[in-house]
Amino acid sequence: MKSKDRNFFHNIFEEKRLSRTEKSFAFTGKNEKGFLKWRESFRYALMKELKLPRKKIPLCPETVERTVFGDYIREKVIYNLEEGLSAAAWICRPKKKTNAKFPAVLCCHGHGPGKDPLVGLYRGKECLEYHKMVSVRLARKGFLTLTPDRRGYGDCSQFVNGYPGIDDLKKLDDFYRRKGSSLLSLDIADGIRAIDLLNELDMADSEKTGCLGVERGATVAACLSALEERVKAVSLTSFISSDGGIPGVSRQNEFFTRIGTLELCSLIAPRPLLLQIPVADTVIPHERARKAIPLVKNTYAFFHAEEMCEGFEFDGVLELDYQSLEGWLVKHLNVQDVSR
Amino acid sequence: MKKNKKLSSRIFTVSEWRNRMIDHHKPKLSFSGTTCEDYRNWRRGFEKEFRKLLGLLPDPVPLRAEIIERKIFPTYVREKVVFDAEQFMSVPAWVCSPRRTAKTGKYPAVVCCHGHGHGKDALAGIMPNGRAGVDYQKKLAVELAENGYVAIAPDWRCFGERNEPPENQPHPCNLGHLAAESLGYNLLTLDIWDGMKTVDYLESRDNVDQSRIGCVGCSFGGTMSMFLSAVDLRISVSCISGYLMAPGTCSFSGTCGSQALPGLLTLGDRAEVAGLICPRPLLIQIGEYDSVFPARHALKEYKRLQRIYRAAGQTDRLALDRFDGCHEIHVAPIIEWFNRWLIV
Repeated sequence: MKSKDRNFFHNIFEEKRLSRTEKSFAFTGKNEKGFLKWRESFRYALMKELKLPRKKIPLCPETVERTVFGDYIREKVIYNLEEGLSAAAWICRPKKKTNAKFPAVLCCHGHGPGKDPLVGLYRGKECLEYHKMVSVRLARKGFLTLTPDRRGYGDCSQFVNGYPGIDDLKKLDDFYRRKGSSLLSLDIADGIRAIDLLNELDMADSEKTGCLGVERGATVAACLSALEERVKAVSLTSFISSDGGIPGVSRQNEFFTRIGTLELCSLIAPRPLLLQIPVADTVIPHERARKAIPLVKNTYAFFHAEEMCEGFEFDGVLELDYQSLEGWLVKHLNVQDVSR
Repeated sequence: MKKNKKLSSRIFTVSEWRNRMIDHHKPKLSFSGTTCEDYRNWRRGFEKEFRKLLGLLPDPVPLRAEIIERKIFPTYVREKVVFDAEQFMSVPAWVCSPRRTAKTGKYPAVVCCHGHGHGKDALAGIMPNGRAGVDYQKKLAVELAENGYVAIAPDWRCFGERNEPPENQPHPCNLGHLAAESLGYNLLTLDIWDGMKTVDYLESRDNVDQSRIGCVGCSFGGTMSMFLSAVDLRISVSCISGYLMAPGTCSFSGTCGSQALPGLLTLGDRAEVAGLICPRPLLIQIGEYDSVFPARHALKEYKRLQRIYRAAGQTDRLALDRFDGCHEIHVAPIIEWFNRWLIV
């Protein structure tokens, strides 16, 4: 071996090792029967990896804050996740009363200080950023939105300003790993509890539940939508990629190095799935994302439902595109527009 | 010792001191007029004081420009050029030009000012790993070349090929500011100087129409676009993206040593500097969800700038693009703006 061919850096070693790792759960067959069989075995493996389903305790939700705005109402709700651990979330809904229940959307935040920016807040002050106040804007349109903090974020965070850095999240993940779990696994279990909560709310239409996520929030949204048939429509921003890792997933997690975003999307099929691709996303180059769309559509084709999956490219950085998201959810959750 | 003041009312941090100083301080030359005469009088006074704040300028030297790399892409040509800005400092830049030859042989040109990140490369669609890619600056130099412009993107001091070695990280802008200050210069002024030399270089090119030169940038690139356009009258149309803020609202995180002009707040703020671009056409871009320069603050400053253009009788030469985006360049309106004013 020549000295110029040697590598001395652990990160490069890891990257090369991972790029050689065969995506052992990738579907390589051609026919529908093979696909459905593969899908079942993959779903089972994913459930096993995530140690789901978990034991459920009563949610016991409490509303601890309520603010009435011009056209919507915002409430802070706290509820039980597991014995000795609670979560905090915002619920936003239209102020205008209707006879029908509201279609509901679970909003999974990306990096930042948790749930607050999705309702336009940070440390009690106005904050407009890449989530574009999606939880409020959807409520104004006629949805009931539930926006929880994930572990380590916002009200559920021990980190400065509820805004964890990458190292903070790694520490938290390491902590759960020592206990035989992982941060992602628990985030998904918590997401399922959030769906449980939506189903318990009188005002939410449990037959019309959607889920959206941005960046690492999209990973949680994708996993829980993959496993939860109660989710009827999904939007994932800055998530899909023809290769590379899954946003926010630790490379220590061997199972997740053997799957990709495509495999997760194939479990969502044939339910409506919008994949938002910002062209100036520096985390997932848009060429890689664009390349993945036909591959996801191939899995939808097994259900004769290609039109239920849409890739939407837009002129943006890591950010959500509100207009296409709203249109998608209105179309697939059949919302009654209350904004007029 | 006698206590005559509650401890809780005392101030101990520089940021809070700065906020209080700004609250209690009225800039001497904020624009408050309404007529053309008010504008002319204000401009005379502000420009004189502003030039004093810029301080020392380096001694000019010949450009000694060289093209050190040339690559032909399907839709444009990219060259790397180097020229001298002062005795002990050279400037590397990308020049992106249209592939086809203009009927007149000359194109309008645009100085593309990079913001924070990895310097000029982002404007040419090159990522830090050397591969093609797009960040918040949307490879604007390439986009402009594809639309019929010669676009030049220089590295500012402390960025790209002019970045500092690792031992001077992670705050090269602040260290650069101190280094310049110790020799009696201001880092921002030196970058403006380099921008002026960039315009000199454009004028030396055979394929550039000297009478049609624009300037654009986002974030720190917006700083550079604003200050360079204010100082260099050869720039005939400008765009400032993701940079306007109301007086005193810029937090520590929204600035750095590359963007500080000592004493500016004693005279005015961004609206006044941008007001020096008047009567030349100026487009302001504000992302509705920009978390670095929040729209509500930017709009306040835009209204002050609007007042200057209105008093000067040039309202049609100031435009606002408020878009549903974050801290990023919004490409299409910029191309439209330059087309409107630079394409004959």
